[in-house]
Amino acid sequence: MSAVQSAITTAEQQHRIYKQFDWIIIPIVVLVVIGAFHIHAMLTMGDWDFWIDWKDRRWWVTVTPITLIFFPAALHYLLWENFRLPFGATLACAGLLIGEWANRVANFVHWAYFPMNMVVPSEIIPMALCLDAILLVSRSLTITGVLGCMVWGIIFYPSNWAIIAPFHVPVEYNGTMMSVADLIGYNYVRTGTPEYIRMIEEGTLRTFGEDVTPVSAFFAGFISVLFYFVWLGIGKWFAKTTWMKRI
Amino acid sequence: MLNIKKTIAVLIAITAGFVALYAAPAMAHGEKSQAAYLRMRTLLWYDVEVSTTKLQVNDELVMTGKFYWFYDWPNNIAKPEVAFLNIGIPGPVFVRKASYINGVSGTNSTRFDIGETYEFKVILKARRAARVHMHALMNVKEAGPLIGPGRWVEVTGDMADFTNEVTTLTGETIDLETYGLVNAVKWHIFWGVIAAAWLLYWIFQGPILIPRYKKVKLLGEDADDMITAGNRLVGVVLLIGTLVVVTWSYFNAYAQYPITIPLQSGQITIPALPDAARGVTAEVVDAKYRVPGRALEFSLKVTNNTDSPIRLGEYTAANIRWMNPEVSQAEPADSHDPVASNGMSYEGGAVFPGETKLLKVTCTDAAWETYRLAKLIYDPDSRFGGLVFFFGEDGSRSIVAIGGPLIPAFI
Ligand SMILES: [Cu+2]
Repeated sequence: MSAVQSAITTAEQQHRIYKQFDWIIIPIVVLVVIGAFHIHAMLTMGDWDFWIDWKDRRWWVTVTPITLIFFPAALHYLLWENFRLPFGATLACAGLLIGEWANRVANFVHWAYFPMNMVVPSEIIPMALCLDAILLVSRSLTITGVLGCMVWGIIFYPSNWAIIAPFHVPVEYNGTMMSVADLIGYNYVRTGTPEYIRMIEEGTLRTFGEDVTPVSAFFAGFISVLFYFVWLGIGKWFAKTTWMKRI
Repeated sequence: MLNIKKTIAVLIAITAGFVALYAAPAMAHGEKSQAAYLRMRTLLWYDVEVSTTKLQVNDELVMTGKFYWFYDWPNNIAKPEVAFLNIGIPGPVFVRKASYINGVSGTNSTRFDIGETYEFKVILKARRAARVHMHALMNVKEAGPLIGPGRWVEVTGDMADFTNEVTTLTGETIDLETYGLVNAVKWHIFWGVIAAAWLLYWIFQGPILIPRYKKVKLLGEDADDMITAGNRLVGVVLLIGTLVVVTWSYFNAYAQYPITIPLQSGQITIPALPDAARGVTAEVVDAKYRVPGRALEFSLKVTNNTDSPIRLGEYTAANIRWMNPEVSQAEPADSHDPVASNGMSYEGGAVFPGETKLLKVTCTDAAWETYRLAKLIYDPDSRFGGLVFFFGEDGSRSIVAIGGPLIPAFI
C-alpha cells in the first residue's frame, strides 16, 4: 500500500485516484447487491412477488417488507457508519428491481412466454426512499430503525395499489366471480403452480375483516423494525472485515 | 478483480437458473419417472380425447375424459382433499378458457372422493406456435402432479395475433395479454428515475468512499456534522415528496377503480358420477408378473348382475391400455400413446347375466418395460391396480377397478 501512496504527489492526483476507486467499487457493490439480494428475494418472497394473482392483502403485504428489510439494514449500517452515506436502502431496492426486471423479461416472458403484466415485480422504491430520507434527516440509525421501518412496512401496499388496482376489478367467469388477477392466473396455465398452492387471504388476521390490509401493514412494519436491528448487527459484523482498515 | 467478476457471473447464472426451473417445470414425459405403484393406484384416467391436434393461434382445443380415484389408495400418498385439474404444457402455449369437472367450473380447487369417478372437459385457446406433448394433469396437494395421458399437439401461426379479451363486471372490455402493463411500467419508471436521481445526488458529490471514510474516522463522535443543512433539506423534500406521491397515487387509483375485490380463493366439492361398474363386480383372485414374457397374468372372479352377457375388452393402468381386439379395438393416437392394440387376451368367454365366473387374463406388452411398470415388483408396496372394461352385447360398458398383490415370476 505504501508504494501506491508514495506515487501520489498532488492533491489533484489523489482526487483522481479516489474517484477511480469509487468507479471501481460502486459498480461491483451494485452487481453483488443485485445478485445476492435477488437470490434472497426469490427464496423468501418468491411467488408472492412473481405473480399478479399472489399479491394479496395478507401474505404479500406482510412477507415482502419483512424479508426485504435485510439488505437495506445491512447496507445502512455499512454506508452510514463508515461513510455517512444515507442511500443504502435505495441502492439495495433499485438493484433488486434491476435484477427482477431482467429476470422477468428474460425468463418469464421470453423463455416461458408468460405475459409481462402477470409478472411485474412489486414496487419497492418509495419505501426505500423514505427509509433513506429518514436516516438522512434524523442522522440516527435508531430513529431510522423505529420510525423508518414502520413507514417502510406501512407504505408498501399504498405504493403498489396504483399498479395492482386494475387487476382487482371483478369479472364474471364461467359462473363465478373472480378478480382480473385471478383470471390471469387461471388462463395462463402454470403446470407447477396449481391454484391451491397460492397462500393468499388466509391466516388469523382474517378476523379483522375489511381492515385486514392496514393491520397486515402495521404488522409488517413492526416486524421490519425488529429485523432492521438484527441486520444492523449483521452489517456491523461484515463491516469489521479488515480490508477497510488497510486503505 | 477477475474473481469478483466470476463470482458475479456465477451468481447471476444461479439466479437465472432458479427462475428458469421455477417458471416452467419440464413436463417432457415425466409420466415414466413416477413410481409404478403410484401411477397404477392413484388416479386412473380413461376416455381421454382431444378435439384436434393441429390448430392455429386463437383456435380452440377441447380435451375431455374421465378419471377414477383408485379405491386402494397408497398409504404414503396424500389423499385428494385439495386438488386442481390442470394441464401439463411447457408454459402458456395455450390459455385455459374453461375447465369443468362433472359440469362444474374448475377455476377453484376441489375435494375428491376416493373410489369415485368424475368426467372433465378443458377448453384451451392456442396462444403461440409450438409442438408440445400435452397432458391432462391433476395436482393433488402434498401428493404432487398425477399425470394423465398425453397427446402431441401442434400450434401454428403468430403469437402477435393472439388476443385474450374479457369484459369486466364494470363493463370494460380488456385484453389480458397487455392489460395494466403500461400503467405498471409507467410507475416503475417514475420511481426508478427518482431512485437514480437520489443515488446520483450522492455519487456525484466527488469521490465519496475514501475521503468520506477518512473524514468519518477523523471526526469520530462528530461525524454526523458531515451532513450539511443542504443535505438534510434534500432529505426532507424527498421524504415529504415520496409520501405525498404515494398517498396521491393510492387515492387516485381508488378513484379510477372504485369497484375492486380481493383475490378469490375458495374450494368446492363436486358430486361424483354414478358408479361406472353398473352391476358388474370383479375381484382379483391371484396375480403374477411374468418377467421373461413381460406379461401380467391374473384370475378375475366376475359376477354379472346386468341383463346382458359381458366380455372383457380392456385393461388400463398408468395411462397404458391393453386391448382385447375381439371385444374392443383401439389404436395409438400418436407416437407416444401407449396402446397395446393386441395386448390382452383371456380364457373364460362371456359371463352371462346372474353368473359368477373365473376369468384368466393375460396382458402382454413391451410397455411393461418401456414404461417402467415392471419395477412395481421392487416397490415397497408391490400391489398393482387398474381398471377393467366389460362390454355387453347391447353395447353397454361396465368399468370396474381391480387390484391386489403382485407376485413376480422370474423364470
Ligand atoms: Cu409427455
